[in-house]
Amino acid sequence: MNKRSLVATLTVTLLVVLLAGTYLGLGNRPNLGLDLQGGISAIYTAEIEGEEPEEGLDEILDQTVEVIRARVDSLGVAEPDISRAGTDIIVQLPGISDAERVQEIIGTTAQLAFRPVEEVIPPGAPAHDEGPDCSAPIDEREQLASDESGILCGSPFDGATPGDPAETAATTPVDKYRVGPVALTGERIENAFPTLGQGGFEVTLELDNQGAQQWAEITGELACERDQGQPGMLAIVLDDVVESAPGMNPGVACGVGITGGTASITTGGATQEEQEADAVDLALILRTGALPISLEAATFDVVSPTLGTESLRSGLLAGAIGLALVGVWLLFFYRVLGVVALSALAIFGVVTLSLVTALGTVGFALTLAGIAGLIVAIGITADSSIIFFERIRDEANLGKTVRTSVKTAFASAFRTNLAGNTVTLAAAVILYFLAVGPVRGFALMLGIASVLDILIMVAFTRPLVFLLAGTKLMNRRTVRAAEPAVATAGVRR
Amino acid sequence: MRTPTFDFVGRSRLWAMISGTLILISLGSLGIGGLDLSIDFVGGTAYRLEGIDPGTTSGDLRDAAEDAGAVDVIPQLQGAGDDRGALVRTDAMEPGSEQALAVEQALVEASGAENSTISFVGPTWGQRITQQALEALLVFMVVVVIYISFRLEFKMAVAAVVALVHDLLITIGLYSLVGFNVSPATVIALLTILGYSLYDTVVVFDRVKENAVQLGEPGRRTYAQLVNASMNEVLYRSLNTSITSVLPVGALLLIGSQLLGATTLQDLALALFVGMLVGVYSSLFVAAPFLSWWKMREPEQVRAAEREAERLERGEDPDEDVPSVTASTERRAPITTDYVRGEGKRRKRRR
Repeated sequence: MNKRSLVATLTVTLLVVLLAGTYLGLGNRPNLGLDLQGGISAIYTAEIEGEEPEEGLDEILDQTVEVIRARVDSLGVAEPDISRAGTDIIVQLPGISDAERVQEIIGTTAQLAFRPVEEVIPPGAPAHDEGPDCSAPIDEREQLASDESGILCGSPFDGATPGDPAETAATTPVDKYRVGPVALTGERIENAFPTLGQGGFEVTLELDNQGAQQWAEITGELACERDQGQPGMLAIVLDDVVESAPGMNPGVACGVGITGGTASITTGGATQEEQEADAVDLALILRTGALPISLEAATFDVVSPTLGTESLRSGLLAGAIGLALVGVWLLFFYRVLGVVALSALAIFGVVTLSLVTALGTVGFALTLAGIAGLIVAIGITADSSIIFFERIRDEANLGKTVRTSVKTAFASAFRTNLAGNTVTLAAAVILYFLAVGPVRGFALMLGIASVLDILIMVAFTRPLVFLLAGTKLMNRRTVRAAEPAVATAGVRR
Repeated sequence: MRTPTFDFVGRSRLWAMISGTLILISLGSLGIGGLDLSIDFVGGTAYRLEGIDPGTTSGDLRDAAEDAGAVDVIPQLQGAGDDRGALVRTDAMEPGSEQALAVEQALVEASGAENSTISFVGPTWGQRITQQALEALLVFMVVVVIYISFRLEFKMAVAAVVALVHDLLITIGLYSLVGFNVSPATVIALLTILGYSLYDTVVVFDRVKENAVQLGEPGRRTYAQLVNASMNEVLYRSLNTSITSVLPVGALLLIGSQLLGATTLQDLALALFVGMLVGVYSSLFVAAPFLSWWKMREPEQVRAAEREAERLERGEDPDEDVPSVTASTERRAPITTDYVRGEGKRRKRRR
């Protein structure tokens, strides 16, 4: 790499840092977590329908907590605090000041079920007058018990927010469906996600063992009905509203059904965007719409942080002091190169902070654990420089010129750095996708830190050290000079 | 030659004994005492206070509850203006027990609450999170083994994971032994340690791999010597990295939790502090000696070791032909050893 491109790289890096610094300088600050800034607390009271199932009530409540958690998680890394208090469920979300947003996130009393469709009743058909009044709010409509057959309203066509009572109470008449008893409940769904299939967007559904069996049975029966000219559709019912009623594909055989525990549902929509939006919505409903009991929002309150500002302040102070100590050590041990390492750390700090701030706008909240993660990242970032500098010394000690030493050293130091960071990144990615709640936020910080570490090494440390290698600041003696100091350091400490 | 010549591999029996003892103590302590899980894991008692004095701070509530004998206190103020309340969560207490009533009494007195209720509060860090975190951990280890096998070699991957498990066990063991509270922050810290420990081990092994090209060039160096030499070459890196990592965490531990009294930081910082120290120890004294011990059992290495022993018997200098890998067990300098082990009797090293 020639001098010009080194200078160019360095300039671009510094411009990016300047940009990040300006962003922070304009007063943008990270969105802090529940522990540091407080948030909104909602208490939901569980309403158990019918006879109260004494047995397993705890289990159902626990599962409800998980469903709510999944819903909150699916909307971003908000680091919610969700717990049970008796039959109440306390949901705390950081930094959100309006109650409506919480209500929107947690949704209403969503319970998901699959029911076979016996008849589709379009508006205007004689039977359309029967059944519930579809313009009434959901909680005022008659409810259909799970073992009953009856008529249910369809969901309005405008792509309303699932589970939102205000929007589901549509003004335009919708299809009604005559449906059979519940064939399968949402609890049997393991996962649902939108995929791009051959015929456009679809939702892929994964069921547990029992669900797979039930699914095969019901789809087998429906395929027979389809062959006899009946609708052969399976209604996806959320809170007594038919969200979607996919028919059986010609490939599904009568009496066999869809086996194997996975299925896909092709979504409607004229354009690809609409299809995609439909698939995303439906997947969200399927994935999280399986609350086993109904919940009533009892109270909404703004709550104070669990830790308070003094913790935040002492955490940040500790970070600053730690950083200063690291700085002193690096300068003492590596002289000019120590300055480079310190600058790399400063850049890391500014860029990370602005990234965290930017992520705050999409719901990411920085908790005390996150701050600690960042303080740890200081050590790991310093390590990249240390590996590089130690390598330069090794090479210089072998009698090579500074320029050659720097070049050879970077090649091998970068390989090492990449290997180490790949492992960290793997940890971050896996934790992010497989874990929930607080672990996800941590994983995100870890991932950001390791990617930034690599970038800074390439775009800052390397060009700067390469350029320094051509100056008087860095010659054989200065590179090697620290050696006696090393021994002395050992003695004096 | 500035590269230190410390015999890591040669004393592997000693390290194995140290590590083995630590792990046995950890396991024993975990088996007998278990872990002191915070209310985030096991749930606790919640005191809901209504109509509290506007001037009440969360600090007042915490002090009141702690004075009345509660631990793990998480106070939160709710609402604003006239309609203020508070939610105080503490460790689990028997409903209606003297202690629970005493805490309630203290809280009401401190806040001037008009009304208060006690209820059991479930964990916020549920079974499911723990389970998913563990699953993620397993998947991660498999991926790491595959990656390191591909990038370096399979035996190194196994050695890295052995060191990792070693670190986690000892850190958790210390928590159990001292009776520290295990909070979600501790779990996060353990996950950090995991990344850190692996990173450190990978750096050491990367150098071993790089130097391995020279192994057997003149056909004379055993794997143990190679590992030893490589580790000595990266020793300054390891020490400096440890220092730069431990300094901020130490600051977090001392300044954050001791001086300013933010006890929550303690969970986090302590786990990190211990974990990092153990992580550095294990990458030098567990992972590499383990790797070397395993590799030395390969027939090729056994033969090389025999040749090496014969050569020593004949009184030849085994390093004669191999200047490229710098250190060896024979040239051990006691001064450096002292420096590394951090004992008092350090002497100035001459160049």
